[in-house]
Amino acid sequence: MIDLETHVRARLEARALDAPDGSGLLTAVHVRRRRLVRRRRIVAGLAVSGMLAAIVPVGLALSDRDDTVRYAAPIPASVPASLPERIADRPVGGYRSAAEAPPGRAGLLVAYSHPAAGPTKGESLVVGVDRRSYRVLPIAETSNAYNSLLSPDGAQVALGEEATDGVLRILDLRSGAVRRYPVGPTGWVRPAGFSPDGRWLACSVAMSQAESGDALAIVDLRTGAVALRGVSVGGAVAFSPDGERLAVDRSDSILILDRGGSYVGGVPSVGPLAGDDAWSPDGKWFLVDHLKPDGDEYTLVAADFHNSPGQPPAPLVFKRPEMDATAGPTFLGWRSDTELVFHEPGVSDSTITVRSVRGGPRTVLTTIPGPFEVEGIDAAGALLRRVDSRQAHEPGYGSRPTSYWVLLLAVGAGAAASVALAARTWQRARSRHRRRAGYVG
Amino acid sequence: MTRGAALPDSFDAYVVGRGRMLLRFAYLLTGDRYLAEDLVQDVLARAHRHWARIERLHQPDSYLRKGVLNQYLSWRRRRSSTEQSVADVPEHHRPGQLDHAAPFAERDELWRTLATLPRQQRAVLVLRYYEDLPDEEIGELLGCSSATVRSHTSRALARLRTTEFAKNVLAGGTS
Repeated sequence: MIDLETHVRARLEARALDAPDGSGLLTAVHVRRRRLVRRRRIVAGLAVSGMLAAIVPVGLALSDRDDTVRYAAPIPASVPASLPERIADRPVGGYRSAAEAPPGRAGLLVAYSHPAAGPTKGESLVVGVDRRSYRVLPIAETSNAYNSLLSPDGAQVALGEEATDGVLRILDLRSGAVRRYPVGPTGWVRPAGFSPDGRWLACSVAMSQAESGDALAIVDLRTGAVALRGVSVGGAVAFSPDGERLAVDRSDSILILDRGGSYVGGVPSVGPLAGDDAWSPDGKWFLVDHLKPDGDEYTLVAADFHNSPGQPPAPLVFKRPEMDATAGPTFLGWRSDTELVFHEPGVSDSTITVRSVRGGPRTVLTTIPGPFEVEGIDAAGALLRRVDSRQAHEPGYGSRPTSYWVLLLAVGAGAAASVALAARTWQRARSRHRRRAGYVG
Repeated sequence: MTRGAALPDSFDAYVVGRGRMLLRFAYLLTGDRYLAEDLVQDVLARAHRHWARIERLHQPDSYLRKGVLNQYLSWRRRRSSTEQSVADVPEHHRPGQLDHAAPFAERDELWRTLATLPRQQRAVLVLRYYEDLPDEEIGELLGCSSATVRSHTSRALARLRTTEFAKNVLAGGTS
């Protein structure tokens, strides 16, 4: 044993003489050191870039979610305005939520019940202006969806939830974000009408738990400021085309307020306002729904009866025998100064139609097939002016939104950066440990 | 000591003065001249950044020997894939450079067997028989107990005993 160890020692010492002589070692070390410094800088740069890649998109996404409510009207010409000729049937398994898979701007909001959704369950569907996208609103009850309103540019929905906390909820269809506005002291908040630019929203607000105690709230969706006025709002509130005035339905008259809620005047009326788009684009008329025993008559009433714009056209008459016995037409908006858009129930299918104020044949824009029992409907008023309808072969029920992939990419980059930093930290910790362990001499 | 002033001269002087010592140590560990140079250059390049602190401890030899050892034991980089046992292939030489030990190495079965040992065992032999370190210190360097060091030594020597050279030595002959 001893002999072998001695020989091992001798052999190692002999072989050590064959080691490189170290000439050029100093130059080689400095070359390598400079390369090492460059590599460290690159790694640090990549780590910082990775962190930024993680933080910036997330920040942008979050900031976008926080500031998702846009108010800009007019709507860019690049925004599509097309509806499907026929609403596609409900997919097996149902639609995805607009909050989870934002569809972008919508042209129609339909509160409906459907046999496939169950005998008692209803949903509220938005139909994208790309004529393909279908999503449901994140609210539970169809009856509440009836109160939801689509903004004029189709980008937001004022959710008609039966809120009991006095909070108004606005869903942005482009981002899926929901903004909350404390509006009333308690109880429900019912959206009643958007201003044409989408910035203001008139609501009926419960002032107490009692059903009767309600008030008009005018909410600035940009700042969250709320103007409360002691005006009971039974029906719709229609903003004037310039957004400066509001027409509030008061059964036998129409109350006109300025945007701050101050009284401006009143107009006698033959019926309730036809909806939140009841004020005509030229500002001259209100469209009112004059209910008659045998049907509905939509009549134009002068907005300024002191300076009457002239004799209004004859009412548009919808005779009940033409339609479902229990449901009448619903006014959706203006296609032009003289053309009106309605939802008209039928015996089996219902239709979105265009009618001239001067009468004449109607034009069908979109058909809503029979399985859908429409309980409430609204349209993006500003988009109706140029919306068309085309055949859509492949309905889209909700693929992953772009923000999802951006976030996924950001999370991936963040994870990679974190792993890189963790590896670097571990490497340094190990180096420190080895350094400590190395000083044993 | 500020890095900008005294550090480069001090570091350079150390490399010039003690570089060969490190190269010998690395060569005995790796059994490959190029690998040894690569390893030592790498360790020194990394040490340059912390040279002021290393020097303050007055034990740069110990620190760098530890660095070479760690680098050898955890050699996972580009060269590792090309690292081969010198028992299997002839040693490499720079073009044009004569290696007078080559004919001898061809016959040096003990050396070639040493190259086939696991890294830990080989490191233990080098530290014990070339660096003359006690088992406790070897254990600290390798991050193991002195009992494990003894176990490595025993196994390594047992392996070497299987060579014809060792049989001759044990039988009373000479190498």
